Amino acid sequence: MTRIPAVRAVSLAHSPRDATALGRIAQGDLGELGTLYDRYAGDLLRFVTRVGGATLAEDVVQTVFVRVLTLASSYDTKAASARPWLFGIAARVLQEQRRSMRRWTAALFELAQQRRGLTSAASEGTGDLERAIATLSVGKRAVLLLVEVEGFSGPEVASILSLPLGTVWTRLHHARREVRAFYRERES
Amino acid sequence: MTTPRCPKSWQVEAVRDGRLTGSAFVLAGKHIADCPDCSREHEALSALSGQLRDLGGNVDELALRRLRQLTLARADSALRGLPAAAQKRRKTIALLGAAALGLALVALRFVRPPTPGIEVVATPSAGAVWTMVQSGDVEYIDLVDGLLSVSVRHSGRAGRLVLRLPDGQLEDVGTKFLVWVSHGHTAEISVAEGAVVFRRRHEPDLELKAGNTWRPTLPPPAAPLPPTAERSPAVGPIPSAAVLPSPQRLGPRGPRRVETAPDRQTEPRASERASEATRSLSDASKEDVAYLHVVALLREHRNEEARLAATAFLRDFPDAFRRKELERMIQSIKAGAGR
Repeated sequence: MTRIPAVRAVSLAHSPRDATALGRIAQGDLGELGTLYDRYAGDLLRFVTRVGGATLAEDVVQTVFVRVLTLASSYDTKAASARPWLFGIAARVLQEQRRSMRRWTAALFELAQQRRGLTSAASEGTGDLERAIATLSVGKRAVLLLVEVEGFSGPEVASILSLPLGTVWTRLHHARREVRAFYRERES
Repeated sequence: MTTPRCPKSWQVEAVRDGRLTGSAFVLAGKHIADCPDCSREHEALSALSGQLRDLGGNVDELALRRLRQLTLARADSALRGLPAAAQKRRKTIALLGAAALGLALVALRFVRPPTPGIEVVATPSAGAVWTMVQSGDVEYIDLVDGLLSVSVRHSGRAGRLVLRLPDGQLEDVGTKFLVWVSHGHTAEISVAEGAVVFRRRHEPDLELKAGNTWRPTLPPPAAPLPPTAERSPAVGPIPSAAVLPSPQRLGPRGPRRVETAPDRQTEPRASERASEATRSLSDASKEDVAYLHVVALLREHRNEEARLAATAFLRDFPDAFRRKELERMIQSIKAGAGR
């Protein structure tokens, strides 16, 4: 009999340190910005690389943390963690970058053609999975990665991407279906 | 990874994503455990989820450290540049504002129609023979015969008006005046406002100021004046039931060349000539001239003199059609003096 797992734990522990750090960043404390970077830059870089491509990723992450300097004062100190907030900024920066179609096309091309500077003990199967993800639309890809890789809940993803919750569920369902269809085609 | 056939297989995703709660979650969990299709679906999704999590992998630590330095350097630069950027933005806005203002002024200079130099309103009497032509900055009026009332308004820019008469010419210096030409001679010039320079052939220039009335020493042969009722209102409110010819409005005109009018004392000479001229004119003309004299005095606010002149008019011309008007005028002056 299959063991039914409980609902995935997606809630994040309250991190008062983030609120404190952002309060100091708002006053121009770059040391705290470094601390925040150490906490979340890896996750952000991974997400942005997979969604937007390696070409854009580093620039987007830099822009996110520079933008934190001016947005820190608007951070909701009651929020459990700054992680969804930072992903939300990253999503907006990515969206802005998408307006530059040339760069966006180049990024997609790079994403589809080459491996990035991420070290991954990826097996051959993982390479197939990456190709499968690359076939998804940006919207579906972002939702799939935020839920399955970054562990955000549906409502959190809706907030990060500024989407209705129903749209998040729909995109997630279609993303899974398309990835599995990709595998089925490979097998056949 | 086959397509599930159970109609409730959607619940697998719902359970995994936390969309079902309470009893629905419990019932769905029980169904998934019992249904082979849903169990397979659950396993497939779990496998995919595991693969995706593995895909996350680890970010290259060295790349992350390098990016940290770059990010903090950029943030530091941005932090130090924030006040400077604000100042630069203010400067840019100020410069743009100044440029826009300059452009607007330049555009206004080219778009706005040129300021009128002079505006001429010429009101001829019935039967007056005259023409008006423009040559360069000068507006010429040629009055051959009849009465013409001229009002000139200067707007600060250049522009001249020259009124050519059979025996000379009249140059406006910004005024309202009336000219009467009869039988090829200037019979009368009456200035209501401002001044004119009368350049008569073989005579020195004569400057006529507001209130001055010029008549020739040897008046032209008597000729009936144009119907007074149709004469110009330039020198005063000549009450009339008749309709005046439509004034001809001119302008705007180009730059005006200012010429200094000769400085001559004209008042005594004009008075002497006026009295002589009055004597030589026909009765009708005398009546007109006397009336105009009253009006001119009123224009100058010489009310007492106007009252006396009006009284003399009534005495000299008891049957004049202006009698009632002048009587009212006298009463009005008296009433004004009483106040």
